[in-house]
Amino acid sequence: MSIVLDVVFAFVLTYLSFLLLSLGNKKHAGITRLTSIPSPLLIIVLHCLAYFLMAISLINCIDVWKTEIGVVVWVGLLQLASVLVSATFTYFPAIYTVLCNYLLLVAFWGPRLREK
Amino acid sequence: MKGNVRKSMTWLHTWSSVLVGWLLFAIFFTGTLSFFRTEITYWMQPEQHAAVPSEKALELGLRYLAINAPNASEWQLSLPDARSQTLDLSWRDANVGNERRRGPRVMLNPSTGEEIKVRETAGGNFLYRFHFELYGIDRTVGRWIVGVVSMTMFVAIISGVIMHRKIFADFFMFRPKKKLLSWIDGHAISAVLALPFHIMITFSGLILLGATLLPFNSEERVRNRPQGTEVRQNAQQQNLASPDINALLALPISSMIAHAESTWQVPVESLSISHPGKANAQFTLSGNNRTQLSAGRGGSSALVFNAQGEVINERPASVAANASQATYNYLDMLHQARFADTLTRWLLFFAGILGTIMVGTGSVLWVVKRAKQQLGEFSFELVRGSNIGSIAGLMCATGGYFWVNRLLPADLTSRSLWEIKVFFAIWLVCVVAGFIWRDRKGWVIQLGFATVLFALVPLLDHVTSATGLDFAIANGDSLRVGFDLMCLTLAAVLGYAAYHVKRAKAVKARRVNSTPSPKRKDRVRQDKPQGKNSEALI
Repeated sequence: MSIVLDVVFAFVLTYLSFLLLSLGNKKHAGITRLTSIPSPLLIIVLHCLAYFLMAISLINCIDVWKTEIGVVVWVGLLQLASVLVSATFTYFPAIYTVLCNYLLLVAFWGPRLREK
Repeated sequence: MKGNVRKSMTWLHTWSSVLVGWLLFAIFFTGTLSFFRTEITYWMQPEQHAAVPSEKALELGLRYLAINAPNASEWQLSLPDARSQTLDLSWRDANVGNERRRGPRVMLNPSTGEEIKVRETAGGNFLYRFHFELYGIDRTVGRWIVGVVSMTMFVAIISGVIMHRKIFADFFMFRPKKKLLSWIDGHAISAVLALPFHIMITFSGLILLGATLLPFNSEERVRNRPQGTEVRQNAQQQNLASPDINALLALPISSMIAHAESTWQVPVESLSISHPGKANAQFTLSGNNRTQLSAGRGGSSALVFNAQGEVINERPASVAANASQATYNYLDMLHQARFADTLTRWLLFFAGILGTIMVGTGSVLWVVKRAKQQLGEFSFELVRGSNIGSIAGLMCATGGYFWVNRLLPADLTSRSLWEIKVFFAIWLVCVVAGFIWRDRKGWVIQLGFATVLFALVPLLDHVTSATGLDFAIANGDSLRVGFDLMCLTLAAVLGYAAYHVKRAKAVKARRVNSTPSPKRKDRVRQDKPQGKNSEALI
């Protein structure tokens, strides 16, 4: 059971990290509360947060599967998560918006960044 | 090839891909299925389906070996695991030399101890071997062809990355119902999102074919390989008294297994007993406890116990001799997924599917892009027709391969050969049909046929297996149920594709009918897509 939780944890982190990365694209950001074109500062913040989550996910995978196999599992999860982020945006934009606005708190800090 | 670098790369990407696209699709598709070749073989041998893993498996295996191989110098028991429902036994007779890697083998039902006689089938091994040495031609020639195709694929990947103008801006972008744009997005997204896998699988494939592509480098290794004619040292132990079954079962084998599993935190998969029934018997337990890919195939450690259940030796995992060996081992393990647990195997399979989509959409994209200008030209029609036979036709052939496995008599002579013959016969018919009906009709027919074949696989399985699907579900046979579910998923995808293509036809038909009495020349012109409608001509 613990390995299932580890997999889910690592996958959720990679999924969230790709959500953050996707917000750097104006078409993706456009359907969230980030209605303006993402500024360079915002893109840096998004990328830093995304890489931070990815790093935690990688550490978790290495902890469970050790370095060589852990990296392979992590890359596999990255590929799966990226495809699912793309599919969420394309086919379930409402879910994408909710995830970004509330789970990633874009609704909170998005307008503040936009005002600047 | 002229202009700037990006234009040159576009030219290189296009032509390197289109020349080998059909074969590449077959290699990618069969290679992706090969990640589950053991499971496919299991499905194709329905005699195995009655097997249910049981705690009695070890005891039943020992009883069988004590009765049937009393004088063997070594027994090998492979316990049921995530990839096998059966108990596999093998043994080595004391007077047989090393020239045979394995001695006699039998398969038992782990809950009853009955021997399972499986039908002859090409199984998943045919798909596996096809993806790197093709079929019906000399192996070396087949590997050369696959090697050249792999190299071309590698060129296409690198040139594709360079030519992709908005690789980061369009990273997650897929725009459905946008005609040509959708094909471009589908091709790009399946390529970019799984790019690490595509590079790894292509490069490692080339490395694995290195001995064929660079034969002068492997001669010495072959020459120095031990010939293995010497008789094992323990040959003298033959014809001694048969092991006492009760004494064997009284040994603390269960505690050995418990000790090994608590040490590794993974299940014990196999048990090897040397000098069975003797005072100096040794029990070697192994499982998938590897932590390194660079260690190669011997990367799992093993524990050796004596008859009293004490650990007498801990056989460590092998270590690569040098950096180049470690690199080779790493790529070998990755490509063949030898290390993979269930999760990792599915992740690799998923990436393989993306690769297959990438190659397929690339071939279709070539046609869609040129439909407006080149409709009716020989080269265009050749690619257009070939796409149908190589993509949809391969799906039909694979579905037919599973069907014929169940429909041929189980005791037919050269049964596996007949399965392969039917596979290629269906594929050949589809290729010819693809050239005859090169338009949407060809796609709809073949995609529809493949949909029916795969959608009915679970029904076929239920009817032709010794045990029904209800038995499989009740006993948690994830291998069989998983196979049937994957066939249903594939059928749904193929069915959606057929429906989509058919709808495109209906739209176009309305446009043509709206034109009053066109002459033949005009009709051809109208068949040519007008910009956005080019997808109607895949």
